[in-house]
Amino acid sequence: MRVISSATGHCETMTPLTPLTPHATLSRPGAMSRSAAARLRATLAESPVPERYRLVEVIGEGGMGVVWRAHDTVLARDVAVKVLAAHLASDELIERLAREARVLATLEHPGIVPVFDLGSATDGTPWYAMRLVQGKRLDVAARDGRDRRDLLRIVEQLCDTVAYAHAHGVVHRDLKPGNVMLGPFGETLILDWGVARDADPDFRDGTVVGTPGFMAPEQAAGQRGDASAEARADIFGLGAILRELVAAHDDPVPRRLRSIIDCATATNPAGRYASALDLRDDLRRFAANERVLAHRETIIERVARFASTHQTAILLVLAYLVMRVAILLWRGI
Amino acid sequence: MLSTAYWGPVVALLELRWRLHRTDAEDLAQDFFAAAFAKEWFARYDAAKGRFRTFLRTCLDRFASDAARAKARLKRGGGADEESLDAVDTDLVGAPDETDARIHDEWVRGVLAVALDAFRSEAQAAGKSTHVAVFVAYDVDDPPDAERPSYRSLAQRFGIPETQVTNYLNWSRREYRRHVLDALRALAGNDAEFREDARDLLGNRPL
Repeated sequence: MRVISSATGHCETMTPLTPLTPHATLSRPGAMSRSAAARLRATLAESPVPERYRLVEVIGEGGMGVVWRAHDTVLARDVAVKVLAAHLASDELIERLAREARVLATLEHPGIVPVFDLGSATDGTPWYAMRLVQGKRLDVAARDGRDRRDLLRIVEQLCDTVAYAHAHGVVHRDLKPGNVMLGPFGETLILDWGVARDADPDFRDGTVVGTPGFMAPEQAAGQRGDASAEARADIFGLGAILRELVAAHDDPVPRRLRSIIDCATATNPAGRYASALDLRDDLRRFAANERVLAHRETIIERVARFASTHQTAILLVLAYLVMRVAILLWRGI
Repeated sequence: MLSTAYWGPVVALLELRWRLHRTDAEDLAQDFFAAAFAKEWFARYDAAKGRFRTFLRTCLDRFASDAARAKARLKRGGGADEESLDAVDTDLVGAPDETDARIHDEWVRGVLAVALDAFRSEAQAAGKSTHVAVFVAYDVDDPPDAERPSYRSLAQRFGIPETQVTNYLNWSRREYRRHVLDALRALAGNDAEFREDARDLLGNRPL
């Protein structure tokens, strides 16, 4: 059976072609000269990027564009070039890709991939060049059996980056492990800012964006607010990432860490951390075995935490006391 | 779409390989597609065994061979047999020869023509006839003096601001590209064939 792909553009799903029946109309193509065909072919095959960038291989395909490893022939270095996929070239997505590049350009932070160049092909399809990050995606890295402390440090770095973006009025809106790259120097980079909302007060986006499992309930419901209100959706995303990373370990999740996750992913936005920095600070407190704001400790928990923090001192004191008691008993005898 | 896109390659193959005159080749091509649709030969295509174009070529060669034998029998006064393609073997045979370039050229023209028709219909239905007209005038029509019309002359001809010509062309090229991809996808036997054809036509352009 002949098949054609679905409208996904990626052709994973193949569906049967309309059956070829005797009733099918035989039609001959409209006249097209060889020179016209050659001209059209040249237009179609034209590289979407200037000669400066030699496209080498596709390294990623997202919901909006295709990312190529490309060679910058002027600076003699490899870069990543993101180009809008041809089948998605609607006015809205063209604007979205260009906006993504502009948003990235306004954010200079170690956790955000720097943009080098932005342009458009002769048919208006936008592209932008950025630093090529040759690392590992967090969703893949999380399965490598990393230490939990290491994973928490990664989330702390994410919180720093998100807090920086929020301070500049930018909300990512699609935080998930698949959009985080761990660089070769231990840096944690947040990718795919294609659905981010920028600081523009007139920002309008009627579509529901995000990824199920990492999307805040109000986001999934299509509720809109100002940038500061939507920033709480990013807090949810950070909490969902944290939950995902913690779940990758077989070890039981400490109650205090569970409380941090629950607070970050609270259904009610008002119940979440007020900022990404608050979440980061609570994670740091957890790592330092200090009291976390998200968890109301019982006396027993407080004593246990105190004991585990001051283990050596307590053991020394206990040893001293035992020795004293032993001496007293010996003298008494 | 299938007969439209493959019309050129089929006629070319009959002309070059079977040494038919143009009109005879077109008549036989018409018969071939009619028989193929009536007897659902193309439904037997198995994408796992090879490219659809190769399969179609095998079908056509057998159809043309049968037609030639029937014609010879008629000349000798015998009756014509039913086409043996009913028992067509779906194992594919690759047969590259000197006609390949011409067949490929015809196939490209067929796909581009199919896409152009689809693009034109959709754009006109969306009230963008001028977009189509600007695109056709600039990218499709053969210019009389071998030089493409200037944006200024297009603007005057279609009564639009000169600055809009780029926008009209950009939009049309994007939409046309999408229709070319749609046509390739519909004509390909499987995803790998689609991607190969798309690379052939679009070069390094993302799909």
